Amino acid sequence: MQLQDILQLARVSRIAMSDQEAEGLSKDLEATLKYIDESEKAPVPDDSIFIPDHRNVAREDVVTTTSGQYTDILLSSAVATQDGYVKVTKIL
Amino acid sequence: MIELKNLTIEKAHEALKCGDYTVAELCDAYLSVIKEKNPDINAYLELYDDVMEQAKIAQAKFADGTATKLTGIPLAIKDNMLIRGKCVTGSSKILENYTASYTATAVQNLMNQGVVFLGRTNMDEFAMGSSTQTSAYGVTRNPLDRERVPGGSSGGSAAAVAMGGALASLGSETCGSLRQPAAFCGLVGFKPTYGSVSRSGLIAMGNSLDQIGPLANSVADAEILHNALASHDVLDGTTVPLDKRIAKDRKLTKKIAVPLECMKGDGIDTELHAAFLSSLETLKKLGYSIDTVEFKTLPYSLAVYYIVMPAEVSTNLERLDGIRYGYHAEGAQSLFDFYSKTRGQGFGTESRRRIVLGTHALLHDGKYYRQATKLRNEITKELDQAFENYDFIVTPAAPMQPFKLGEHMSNPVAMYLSDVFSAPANLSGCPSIALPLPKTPNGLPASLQLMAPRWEDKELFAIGKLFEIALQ
Repeated sequence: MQLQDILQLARVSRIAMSDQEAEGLSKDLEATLKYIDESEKAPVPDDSIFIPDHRNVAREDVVTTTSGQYTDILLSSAVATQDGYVKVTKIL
Repeated sequence: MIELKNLTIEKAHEALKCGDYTVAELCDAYLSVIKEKNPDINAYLELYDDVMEQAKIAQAKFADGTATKLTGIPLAIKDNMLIRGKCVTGSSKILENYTASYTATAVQNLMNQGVVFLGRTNMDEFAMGSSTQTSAYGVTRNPLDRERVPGGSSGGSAAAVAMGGALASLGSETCGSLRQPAAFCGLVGFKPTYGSVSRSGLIAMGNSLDQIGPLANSVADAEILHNALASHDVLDGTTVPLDKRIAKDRKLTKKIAVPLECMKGDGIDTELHAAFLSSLETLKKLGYSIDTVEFKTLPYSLAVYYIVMPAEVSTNLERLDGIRYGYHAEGAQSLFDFYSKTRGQGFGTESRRRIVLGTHALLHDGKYYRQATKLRNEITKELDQAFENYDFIVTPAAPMQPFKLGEHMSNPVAMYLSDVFSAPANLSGCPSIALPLPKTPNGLPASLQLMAPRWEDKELFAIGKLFEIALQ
């Protein structure tokens, strides 16, 4: 894996990363991917279909809370707030 | 003086019921052990300031006759389960000083019975690690040998019990994070059937794998705790309704399967392997016959896990952006800059490593994730087939004994391999228990792991108790 590939993955993951860290990570990831690639040797039939044993869980589409019930407790951890909203840095 | 050594939940319950000592006195006894040992071991990151208030509530339950076996039992809790109003960090800098806005369902289930939570315990950052060395708050030492790691990621919870600083504790596992630290600290660790215990309020790592479970001194203690933790919860859609928790019909054969690699000892520490072989003799004395079985897909379990888990980790940790809660970087020029600086500074090395790996796996969906999902299905099928002929599958809990602090830190794959025997149970959703074996001649702990089919959790407790007696 090239340095640029790692930096691009870090960017997509929204993680600021120095070239030096990316270089170290490149070695670690290569070793890990080499280990992971072992799984390609596993006997998986071409027609193996994964049908999960899961079921959808739904509930009635009704409002169960009152407006503002959790506003204060949830906003209390935010870095900046204004008029009951979370305030963020400018986007562009 | 309360004799804490050899204390069990049932013994403590009887003593509390008879008034031999009060809940407050029992808590005090554990707090004084913590005071003495924790500065060096670092099992606990924080002791709660309301222990005596919790004790008072528990004591009242004895007075009004509503006490259960768990009332007044002092427990430690892993730093990834939420208690409203208390700090929880996932042992990460990015959640430093975060205060929980609600309580985890599994934790609430125990609170309803009046347990006392003494404090929160150290762990690998966001449960990513096998030695409790990736925590942002320092390493935890193994109470059995302080130069060695306690295992991980629930290493703090294991060390808390092993040092005598709690009667039992709560941990969680995505791949061995209960069983491996149990093995390293000489405890019982139990990973329940996927869907038994609600994860609402557990900081998610890999949603298709995560379960909460107990670390305890005995199988009976682990069983009491698991039964209290388990529930059907509308806040976690993966919990299975109680009337649907039914194991597949099968005839028990009194036969146990041992994977070929474990019989041969491939990649297993020598003394540990000898202890494992000798534990098979104990199982034979209990009336089981042992067969060596060559599994075709099982040896690929950990490789599959290292695709599925990072993909889920990368998705889960996306929510930590410093805007709504947690650590935030200063001086950002734009929102993207804010996110990436916050996450770059807030996450530790191992978290960054796995997020990037997961992003890579998801960007190459066909090559990695789909293939892993298929193979995961094949592994589950192969295990299910084995359980048609065998009551349990048995391996060592980990291939290695507790290693020295600092070891394997620069070689991630070597560290990952410590969970090689854990992965099948997590991938397939099967329950699994780690049982302590006598120490090996080198003085280090060893452990046996049993796996059963989904919803046969109680069969593991049953054989576990018989095994404990057979070892005495």
